[in-house]
Amino acid sequence: MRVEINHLTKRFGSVKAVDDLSFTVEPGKVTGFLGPNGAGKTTTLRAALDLIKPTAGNVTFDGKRYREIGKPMKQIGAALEASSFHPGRKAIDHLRMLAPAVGAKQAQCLKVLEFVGLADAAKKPVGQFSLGMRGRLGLAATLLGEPKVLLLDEPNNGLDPEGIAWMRSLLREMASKGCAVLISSHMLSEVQLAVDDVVIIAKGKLVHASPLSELADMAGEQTFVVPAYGEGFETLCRTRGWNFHRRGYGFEVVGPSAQEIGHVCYVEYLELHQLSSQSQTLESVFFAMTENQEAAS
Amino acid sequence: MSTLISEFRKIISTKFWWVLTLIVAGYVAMTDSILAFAASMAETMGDMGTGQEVMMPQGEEFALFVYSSGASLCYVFPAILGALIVNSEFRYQTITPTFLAQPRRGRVLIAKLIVALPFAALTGVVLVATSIAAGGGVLALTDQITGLEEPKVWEFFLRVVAAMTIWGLVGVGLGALIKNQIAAIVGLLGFTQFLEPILRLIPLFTGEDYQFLQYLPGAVNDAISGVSMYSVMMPSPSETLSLPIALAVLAGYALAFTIGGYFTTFRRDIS
Repeated sequence: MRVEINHLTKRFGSVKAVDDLSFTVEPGKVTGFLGPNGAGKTTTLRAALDLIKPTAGNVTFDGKRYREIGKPMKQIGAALEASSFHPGRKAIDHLRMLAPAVGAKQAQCLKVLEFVGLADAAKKPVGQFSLGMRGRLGLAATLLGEPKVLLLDEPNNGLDPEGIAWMRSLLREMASKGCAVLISSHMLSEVQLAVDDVVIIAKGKLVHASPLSELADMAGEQTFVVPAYGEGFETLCRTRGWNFHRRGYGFEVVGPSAQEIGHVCYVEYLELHQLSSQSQTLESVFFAMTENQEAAS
Repeated sequence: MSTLISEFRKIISTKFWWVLTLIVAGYVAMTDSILAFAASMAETMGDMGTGQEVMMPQGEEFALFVYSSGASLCYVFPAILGALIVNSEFRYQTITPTFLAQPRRGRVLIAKLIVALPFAALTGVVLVATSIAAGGGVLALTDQITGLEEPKVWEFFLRVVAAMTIWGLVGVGLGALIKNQIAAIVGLLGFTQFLEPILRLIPLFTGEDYQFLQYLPGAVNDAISGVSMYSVMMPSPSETLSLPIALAVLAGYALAFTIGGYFTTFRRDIS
């Protein structure tokens, strides 16, 4: 199943939480849905699942809205961040309460609980669960059916490193079966090893969408520049369209080589105190992108 | 159908349904046995020298009065039960998985109404059973008339179960209308246990009868059960609705609240 987000806009009062957002989640791939907190990731997911009504645009699953799919939980497994449990209800009962929606029996409930590593906690009330255990239980619920789409909001929250590795292999396996997988995160480094594609948003707007490899190419080189006059250099970056990120007294500039920056500054009579090439991490590309978006708005 | 099964499992996997049912049993056991016992004392001690003639019903009428003491107050418990069926979903945000499983929200609300029926009816059956055991038991032990062979008494019991069942639906509607659990329960208790009893006592002081009073939920409840503590307390009992009209009015409350809840709480964004 292909998930298409089409010109989605959601306004809460005067705030645009999501602003004309469009992208696609392809079957057979894991897509990382990235952005700082408050960028509109959860709102996008909730709109996709018909939990909130978009102001404009829509989200479709092979052309259909969520509510138009008969027995949607059979096809679409979704676990949202505030994933929500009655504290007095036992883990197994949480699944049994959802099971009729996908036609699952008791045995299937036990099977998915065991699969997510909660077999021993089946009869414990969810109120006694840690954040990581709740996350696993939410995931178990998404696997009750045989989903062709997985939408997971911050699935690594509360998981230990071992759990994160386990989650990664699960996501890879689901994608290899043809499932379209979307996982949100505010940390690129958290999902970097798991995803094929990245979609980056900030302030509700699309900043970047590409295969991870293209983002990695952009990482390559960056240059650290300390100009005598910061404002002049910032204006230069904007007119030249260079991505930059302020750090301390200096700027990390992505795109042009150190040689090019040095030449342009010489021509423009801008005094530099430092100019050095550095290899840049993916994370800093991500930060540079989301910060520029926030500064521009 | 799957939504119905889900809703049923939601209730039985939590504690509140049997806790509320137990409270009904405890409450009725207390009020009925105390009333029945007090009456036996009053009989043996006469009118305690006050010189006043106490107007108390006699025989099976008195037995009915005993049985009705629980019924005219306990209707709030199936209403709380109904409200919790909706409110607990919003309080613990389980409404999110609920709507993921069934995005047609109207169906969720209808399923909640349907599954509330047996649980609300159960509170009524438990009330009657406790009334017979405690009230009837004490009446029998103190050599008073239990009235348990009278069809009139059994008709009263049936009416109580009917009223309690519909109160469950009123609760579901109220829970849908007032999303906040505390607000819904405080509102329910405040109105039925405090505001309405005061309103119904107004005629005692003004000497006039007000038509709207018989449409208040507690008065409607009394009209359904056919016996009321108020009618005993009042010097001139005010008019009460006939049984079919009373049933329709109570069901009307449930329907109005539910429709109101559907167009407000159930239409809103879940975030």
